Amino acid sequence: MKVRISAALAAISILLAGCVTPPQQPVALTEVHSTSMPGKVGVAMTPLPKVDVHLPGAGCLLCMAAASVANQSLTTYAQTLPYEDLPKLKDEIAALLRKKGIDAVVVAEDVNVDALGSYSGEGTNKAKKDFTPLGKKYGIDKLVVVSISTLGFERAYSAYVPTSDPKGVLRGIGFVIDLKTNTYSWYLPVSVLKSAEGNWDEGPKFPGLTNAYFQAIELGKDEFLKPLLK
Amino acid sequence: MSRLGILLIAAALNGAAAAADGDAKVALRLPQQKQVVFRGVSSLDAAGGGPGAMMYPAPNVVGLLAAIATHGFLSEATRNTEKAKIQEAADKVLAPYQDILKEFEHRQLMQRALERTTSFGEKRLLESGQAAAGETLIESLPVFSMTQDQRTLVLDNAVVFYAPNAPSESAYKITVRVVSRAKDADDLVAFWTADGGEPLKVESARLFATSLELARRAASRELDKGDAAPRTVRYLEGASEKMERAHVLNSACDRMVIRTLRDALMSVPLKRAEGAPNADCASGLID
Repeated sequence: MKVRISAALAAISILLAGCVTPPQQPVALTEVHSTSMPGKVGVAMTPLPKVDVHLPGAGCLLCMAAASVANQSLTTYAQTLPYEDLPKLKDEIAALLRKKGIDAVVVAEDVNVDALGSYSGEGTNKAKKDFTPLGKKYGIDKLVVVSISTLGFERAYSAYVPTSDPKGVLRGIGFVIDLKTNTYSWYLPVSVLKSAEGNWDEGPKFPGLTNAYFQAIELGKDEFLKPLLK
Repeated sequence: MSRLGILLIAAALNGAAAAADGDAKVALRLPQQKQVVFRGVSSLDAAGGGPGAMMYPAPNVVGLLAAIATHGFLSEATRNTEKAKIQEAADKVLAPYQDILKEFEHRQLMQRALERTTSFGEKRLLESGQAAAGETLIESLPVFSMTQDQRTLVLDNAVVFYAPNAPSESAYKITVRVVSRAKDADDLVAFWTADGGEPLKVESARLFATSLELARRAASRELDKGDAAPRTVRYLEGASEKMERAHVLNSACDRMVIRTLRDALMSVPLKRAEGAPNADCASGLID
């Protein structure tokens, strides 16, 4: 009986594992000039996330509730912090590309990747979402996208107990996609964690963590821009 | 507190500010600790564990609470140990300088620095515990850090000004950080330790003198209020570019003076413009 159950569990595990889509691997941007990026290139951003406190590891419902209460004053404060000039990152990128002779235009509206349809084509570095309709919509051949998914502060937990101090955080991805082939020619995950210098628990204004938040924004911007400077 | 008490403290505070003006007689009191404190510049960006799961042995609610409390205690102890280890590892950058640093005392540092300051009137060193004789008393606790690339010294100086004959509660307190410009040398250990460590001692005294001058200007309200809103300032620390959210007070000679979100002052080097600094800049306390 035990052997049968074990075999069944193993079979289910293998089947489920087979269903998991492997994550997109980073794709390095080798060169940035008008020959490597011919045609018209759009530069867009996805909607910026709310500035918030993230508590990974506080997994159970009670743990989440306890961690939220423990970090309430920081959460309230985080939600007052501005994006600074983060929304202008696409303008900076477009200006950088134009300096390199690339015909770059800024896509004024936010691109909502979740609203795009699925892409059925298969192959190396093919996007899971279908970006091809955006080529016609914006009259462009390639699209540079900066997508920031996490912004604010992060404090790791193990159930009810914090395992780290809160830190300034910026996470996201930058990518270039060919709108004819739906293929990434650049895919860069960015993850910046910046600790406060000295004591962090200085409510209600949290100056050390506020500094770390703005440092994370600047470092994150640098990470997105650095490959385009090549 | 009574209204009279508040008025007395306000008056004394004004006195501290006035006493810190350029013509004031000042006495700089030596700290109790003889040796100058040096550390390695460290970063806690990677400190702390990642997210994890925990199964608590919980026969009942009391048992669960006890298990969580134990877990919390152990986690905090682990984090504190990790921070200490990170600092210990960072301090290893000072290994080649130990022979010089163990002989480098506050008396030597502060005497050299006082001689460099230009905006005080009469000035002298006081022994630790010695009282001032009608002068503005300055207490200071400097901590120096060396960047891991050994090119830069960073001074964090907590400075307190006591106006003559004023109560100690009225003291003016400020923290000043001064970051030196990165040194260019093929062998930085040989550079800093040349001539019995003279370059290291001279640079430390220059940083300390700059911090005292800045603290005096802040105490006597000579510094600009700066930009109304803080902004993120980029500066150099060793070969690295650093950032600080701050109000910019002034910028000259490829350096910037800023007031941080913690109300501390910082004097930081900026990326140097093309060409050599002009004569005015070269004569400054710190380049």
